[in-house]
Amino acid sequence: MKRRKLFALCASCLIGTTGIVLGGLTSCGNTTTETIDSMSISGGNVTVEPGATVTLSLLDQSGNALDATWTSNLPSVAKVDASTGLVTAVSDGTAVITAKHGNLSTTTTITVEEKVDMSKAASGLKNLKMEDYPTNPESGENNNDLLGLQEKYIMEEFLTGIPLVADSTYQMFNPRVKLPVDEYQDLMGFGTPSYVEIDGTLNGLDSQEYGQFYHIGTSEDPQEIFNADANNQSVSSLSGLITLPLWSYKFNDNKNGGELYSVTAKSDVPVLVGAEDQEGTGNTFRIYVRTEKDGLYYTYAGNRTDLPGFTSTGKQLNGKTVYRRGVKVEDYLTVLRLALTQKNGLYRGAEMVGDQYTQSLKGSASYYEATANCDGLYDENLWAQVGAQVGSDSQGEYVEFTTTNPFSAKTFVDSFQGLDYYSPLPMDAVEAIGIDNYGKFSNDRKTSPVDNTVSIGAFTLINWETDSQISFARNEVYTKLPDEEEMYNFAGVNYKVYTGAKSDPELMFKEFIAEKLDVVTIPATQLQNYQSDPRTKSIPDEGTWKLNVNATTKETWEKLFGENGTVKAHPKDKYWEVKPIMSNKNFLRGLFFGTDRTAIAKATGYTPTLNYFSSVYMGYTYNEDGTRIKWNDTPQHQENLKDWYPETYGYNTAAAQIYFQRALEEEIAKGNYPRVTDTSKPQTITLIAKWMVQNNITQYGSPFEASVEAIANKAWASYGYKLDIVNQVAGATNNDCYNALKSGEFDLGMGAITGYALDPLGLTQIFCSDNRSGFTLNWGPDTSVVDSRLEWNDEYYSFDGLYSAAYGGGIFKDGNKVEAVTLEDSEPVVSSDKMVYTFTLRAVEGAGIDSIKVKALEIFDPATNKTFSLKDSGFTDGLTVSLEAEILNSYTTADGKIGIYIQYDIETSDGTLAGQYFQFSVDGYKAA
Amino acid sequence: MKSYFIKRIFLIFVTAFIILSLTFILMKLLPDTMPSGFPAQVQAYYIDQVQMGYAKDLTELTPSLGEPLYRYTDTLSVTHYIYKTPVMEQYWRFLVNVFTQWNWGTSTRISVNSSAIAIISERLPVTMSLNVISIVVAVPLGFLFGIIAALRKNKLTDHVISTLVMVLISIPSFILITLLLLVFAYGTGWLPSQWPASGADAATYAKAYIIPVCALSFGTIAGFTRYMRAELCEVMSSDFLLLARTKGLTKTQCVIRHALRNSMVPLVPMIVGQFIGILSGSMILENLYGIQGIGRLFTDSLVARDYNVLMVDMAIFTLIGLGANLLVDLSYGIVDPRIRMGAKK
Repeated sequence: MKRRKLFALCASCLIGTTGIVLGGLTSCGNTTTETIDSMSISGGNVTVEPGATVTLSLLDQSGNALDATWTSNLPSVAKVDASTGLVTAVSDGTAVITAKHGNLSTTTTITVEEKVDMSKAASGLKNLKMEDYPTNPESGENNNDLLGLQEKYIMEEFLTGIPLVADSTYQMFNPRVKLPVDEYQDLMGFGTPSYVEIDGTLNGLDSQEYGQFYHIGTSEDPQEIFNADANNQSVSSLSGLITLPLWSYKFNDNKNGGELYSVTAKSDVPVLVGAEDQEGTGNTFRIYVRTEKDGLYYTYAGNRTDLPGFTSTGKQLNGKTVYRRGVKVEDYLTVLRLALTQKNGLYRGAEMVGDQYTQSLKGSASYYEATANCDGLYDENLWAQVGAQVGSDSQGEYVEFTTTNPFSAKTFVDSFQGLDYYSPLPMDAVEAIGIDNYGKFSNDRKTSPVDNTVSIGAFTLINWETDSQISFARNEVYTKLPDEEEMYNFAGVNYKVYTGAKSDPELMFKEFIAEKLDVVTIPATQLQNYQSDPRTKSIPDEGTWKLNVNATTKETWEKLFGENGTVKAHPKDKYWEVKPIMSNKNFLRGLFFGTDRTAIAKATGYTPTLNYFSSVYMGYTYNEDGTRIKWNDTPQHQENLKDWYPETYGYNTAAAQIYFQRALEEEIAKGNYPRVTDTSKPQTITLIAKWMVQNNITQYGSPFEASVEAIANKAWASYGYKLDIVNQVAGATNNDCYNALKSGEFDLGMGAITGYALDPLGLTQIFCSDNRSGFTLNWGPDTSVVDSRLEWNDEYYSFDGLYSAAYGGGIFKDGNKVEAVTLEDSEPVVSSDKMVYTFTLRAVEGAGIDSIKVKALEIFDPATNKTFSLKDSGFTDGLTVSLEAEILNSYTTADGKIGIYIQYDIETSDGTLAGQYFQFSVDGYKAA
Repeated sequence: MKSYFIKRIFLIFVTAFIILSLTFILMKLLPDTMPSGFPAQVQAYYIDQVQMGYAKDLTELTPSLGEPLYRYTDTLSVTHYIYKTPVMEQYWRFLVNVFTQWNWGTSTRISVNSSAIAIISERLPVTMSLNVISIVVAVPLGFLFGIIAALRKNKLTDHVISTLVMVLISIPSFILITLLLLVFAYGTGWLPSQWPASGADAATYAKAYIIPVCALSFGTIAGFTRYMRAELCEVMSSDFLLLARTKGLTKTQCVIRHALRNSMVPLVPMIVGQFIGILSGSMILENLYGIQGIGRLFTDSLVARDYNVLMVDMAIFTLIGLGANLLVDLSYGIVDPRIRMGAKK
């Protein structure tokens, strides 16, 4: 019994001691008796300048300090002392600082940004573009450098979005078509249709009635051919066949480009009226034009017998009798008169007086306002005030235009060439046909556009079968100019309408293969089979397709698009859900490098590209043979692409993965996305990508989504996050996508830059974040902030400022363009026979202005532009100038308003900014 | 009978009126397309809308009309506000125009300046001729194949026909036309691949009808074959037919004089129903084959928001549909004398 008790006593002692020892061992691990629910870092998520220091401390949920080990993911941006948490900012960028306490860790960010030295911000008169670049290579390089600087900035800020593909295509020609050139040339292409020659038959045609015509396929029959009244893009190519512009392009002698030549004008440049220096700029241009005396005639092949002045030529065209009539000089103003007379309601009339219309004529806007009710097709009396008149002198008959914007004679030609608004048209013929019917089917459809349109030039409209074909025959009335020797040597043009082509992209191709068309664009699905076909020719891209990005923060979005949004207001319940990660530059870089452009190119039949500007845009330098170098071929552009992996078209999965990872780290550190503890249940970040039509999703959206999501998910797996890109069609029409982009209702959105602009420095206006162009589609950065990256001649600009300085020039203050002069008016002093207004012009301070020189003060009737008084001398100069305008009681106007026009120059130490003006209305005379 | 007929005609017009009114109002309530482009182009678009009567141009803010669509300032510094014309006001003007002047309006997008009625009347003949020919071809062939299949029940012929029927019923007409085009037009070149233009000769025109008519009628033929076979089989196994046979009539006489008459009762009304089906099928078909008909006009004007043309097109389809319904009801009486619509009990 005793031994058992002893044994029990020893055993329990042993167990007890072991328990105590074990208990003691385990409890050594606890340094405190509290548990940590959450940790935070105080002093983080700040922006500092390089060299500054920040002290960070790790706190638990009650605010008690904790020990921590500190690390920085980018010591080149910000270094941190591992034990004290003292951060030293090094250079521009964002670093993620991690604090580790035992098994737990948390993060914060330190953003380092060098403050801009505003003493270097540009001030004074700046006009950086050099206009003599066609003759001076140094100026060309200067302009290219300017554009290169802008392009670098917009690429880095993702204002160009994420470029995808360029729409280069391939066309096939039937072997019977003889082209003037083998390769596509700048400006002229293959010279179709003017330069083609037909040698052979299209065996697949149902009828050979128009067998020798050049057969082109089109997917839409616009049912009208009068361009001034058309709201339809496809009208202009049809209308171009039966109208003649003042100047147009033809192949140069080497057939490696285009040059201007005079068509209805008689000389290559207009006369600058009232200027001693014909090389300068002005507002009035006299153009001597061809008329009946020079052998210029209209043709007509319709059924009407009531057209005045037309006589039969006795010849027939495909069974239709051809009539002709001589051109008179006043016919050159007919389309203008019809469009600007508001009563006629021509669609493009309102457009032609709009303030964006660069070719607007003096007095056109007030004429338009005054003709809301007008007897007849135009008002002869009121027309006297419009800057478009005809006349004749010893040199011949002329048309004279007075524009609101000043041009040099050469720029005038560049702006007005090719426009069919200045194609001659007989006014009385339009009267006989009726302005509602001209160029269209009549109301009862008994007459077609063939009966209701007058043709001029080498072709006459002879046939219009709705939704089937539209035919133009080469007439014998037109006498070719010497420059046109190689043109118009074929029987005619036949547009075959295939409405099914809208839903079947291969329809026209099948018709071509069945020998019913002379030319067709190869659809993407057939590219592999026919790319190497001998009939195939490649066409360089005209436009680039890209994804626009909405990189705004919630605050910025609200400023632009909120209830009181400056761009477009949205009610609170229609706010777009802004995704914080979209404003993270690293994320955008991840998207950029994660896009497999080659896959998209394969699906669309286009070529992958990193370019923003298409091949159509020209730089400002020239080759030895006089051809202009494309912007994309310039060394400045090539330099800008260098950091974006151009060899693989920007596709670099390793780089993308790193950027995605950094982006997520930063956003979690900033607190924009919660830290995920259980990575088996990942959170999803969803982005909405908007496209124009369903086919875009198939060709662009799906490859994009696939390549980007794969990389992002790999990068984010360990953080417990996934990326989901949702591709959507924006709406029923292309406009819906475009409108969504303009209103900030997207994360990513499809867009394109297409079309033709010879001056890319003018195009960069669309990147200005204040939407001054009306076309801003990428949102995020504020381009009015002065940036040290935009340095020119040792001065800093904002992007808005650099754009203005490079295009138009102006007076600058602190890197931005300013309204150099402000205008104040006063209460008028009224006496028995007149009212006197005092206007004060004040120069803005700090803009480097020396003085304001007033040149003219004009008092006029705003409704009719009639001048009441004009004073052009006797003004004082200075930084503040006062003028008196006397409105006599005899100045009466229809609505009691008087127009005031003050013209002035601004003088600075850098030069003179001429031609500035204020134009506004004040109340007319009222007795006290 | 006569009063029934008149009552039905009256009902057709009332129903058509209701349908058209609903269409008009619902369409106008669709959200507007926003114009895009330079501000001058946007302004031109809205001025055009005012001219067409869909919007008003007022010089003062009118809250009762809602939010202005657009505002601009002219050279005389007057601010213009463009408001959408209220839907009921547009509706009333539409009714007044139609009932007092028979003016259905002019087209605004499809063919500017042409009256909607003129556009429709130009395109109606083609669609009608195509659909009528399709029905005329489809019905007898459908009945024929159905009768053959029923008479040769469970033999090889029946199986072949039934399989073909199953295949053709499943394939929509627009897929069929694509198939036919690929094989006969682009593949072998026997038939024209698009509706020919005016210069083509009569033979080409005749050949041009073949593919659309086939595509439209195959589905109908298959449908009729199947129903005819089923009905005839059922009637063939009925007692009165057995009696007729035992009384000495030949099989042909039985089938033609008795069986057919009975089996057609459910089928004749179907003819008109299939006609409607063909009419809607031709919408897509006309698009693919390039036929200038009213079916394609419907989808085109809907997408282009050409309201006037759409209303006239809708009116035609509605009247055809309702008229067809009337024919169906009347045809019951012809086929089965026991049924007389509107007959007194």
